[in-house]
Amino acid sequence: MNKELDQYLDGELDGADLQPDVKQEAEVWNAFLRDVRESGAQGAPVGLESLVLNSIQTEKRSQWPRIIDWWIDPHAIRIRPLIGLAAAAVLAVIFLLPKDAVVPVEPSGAATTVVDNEVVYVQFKLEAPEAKSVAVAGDFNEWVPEVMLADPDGDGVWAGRLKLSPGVHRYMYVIDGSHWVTDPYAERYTEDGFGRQNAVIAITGGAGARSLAP
Amino acid sequence: MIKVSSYSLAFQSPLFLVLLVAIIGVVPLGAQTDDLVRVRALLGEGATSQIEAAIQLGLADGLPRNLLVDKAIEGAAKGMGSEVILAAVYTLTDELRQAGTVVGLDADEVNLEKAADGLRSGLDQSFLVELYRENSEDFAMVVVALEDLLRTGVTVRVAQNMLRDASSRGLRVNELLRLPANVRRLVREGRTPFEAVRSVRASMRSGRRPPYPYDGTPNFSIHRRHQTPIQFMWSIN
Repeated sequence: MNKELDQYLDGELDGADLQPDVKQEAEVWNAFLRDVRESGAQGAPVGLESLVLNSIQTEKRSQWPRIIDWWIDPHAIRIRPLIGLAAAAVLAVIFLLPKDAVVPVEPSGAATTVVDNEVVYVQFKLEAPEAKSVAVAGDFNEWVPEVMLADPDGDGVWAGRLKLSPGVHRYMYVIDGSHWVTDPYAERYTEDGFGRQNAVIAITGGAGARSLAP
Repeated sequence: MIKVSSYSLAFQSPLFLVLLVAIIGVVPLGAQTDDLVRVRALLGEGATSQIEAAIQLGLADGLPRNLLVDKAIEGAAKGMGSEVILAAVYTLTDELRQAGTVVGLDADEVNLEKAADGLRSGLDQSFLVELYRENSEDFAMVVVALEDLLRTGVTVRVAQNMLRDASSRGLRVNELLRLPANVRRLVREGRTPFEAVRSVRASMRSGRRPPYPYDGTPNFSIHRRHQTPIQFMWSIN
């Protein structure tokens, strides 16, 4: 339907404002509406309802356009703030918690390693009184010296615990961000291929109790 | 009773959300794919291309990329020059190729790496092949113990015989890992490596388990008093 005509029939436009061709069509509509009003019809003609419903059914859209529309049209979901916060907290724990977080050393220093299932907490220590910072880097963290040891009492002994999985790990200490040093107290060493030695940790976990094949 | 209301949350079309999630997921994955990104940042594009070419040579031989990339990353992190890193990658490639004859190139990376370490430290290839066949699960740990033993000064033959002895007596992996420290303790006390091994083997034959060289707790005062290396890893099992 012509937009101008539509607005006229809705009472938004005055008949005088219509274009001549639209005015002509508007008069036809006016006559029709007048006839309807004068006929005094109380309800829809018999059979009109089924005619309309049949018409709608024939216009029923196939499945695929409706599926596509569902993916494209905006939707709204209802969410309880409490559940939303809980979900956000879970996601934060999963994505933001550092995997190689250093666990502070217990003051007693009684245990060097704590086995929790197949994860082992390894305590690293280095005596470096002149150091401003000490980090540990190894094949377990792609040699990024970001696992910082701490010296809370300022006695020059830097320490920290790191969660490692069972296996053979190589590492070095990094003093003041750039000075790589081999752990002088490591039990094992291996050549690093660059003229220095990496310290080696062998963590057996539960497999350590297995007997060797004769 | 706490009444919790629900709120409507308008969001864009599901298609938009799926694309958004895909982008968020793909960006970090893409970053992971470029596993030499740190090397590139530290050494520049030209040097990294050379290293990548060396790695590709290894890959063509069926070597695992991770081990070669890790070596390059290690070198770059330690501030080595590109030539040094390149040489290290080539050397490792050769060593891993040889290690493949021991454990097969399809073996776990850790086993392949330890086979290379074992060959480098002088262990016999045939001995390692046999060792891997019989102790494939604990191969890496056993090689660690053997390397450690060789570092005490004993010969390859003596170390290999000691392992055979330990295996035949049903020693556990943890106990095997303690053997070199016991040998080292005796050497520090003045015995020759050969005598130290003989003493430890005699102890094993009498049914005694290898003791912890120290009481297990790392202690700097102990270290200072005896001036000996201390082991932080005794209490791992």
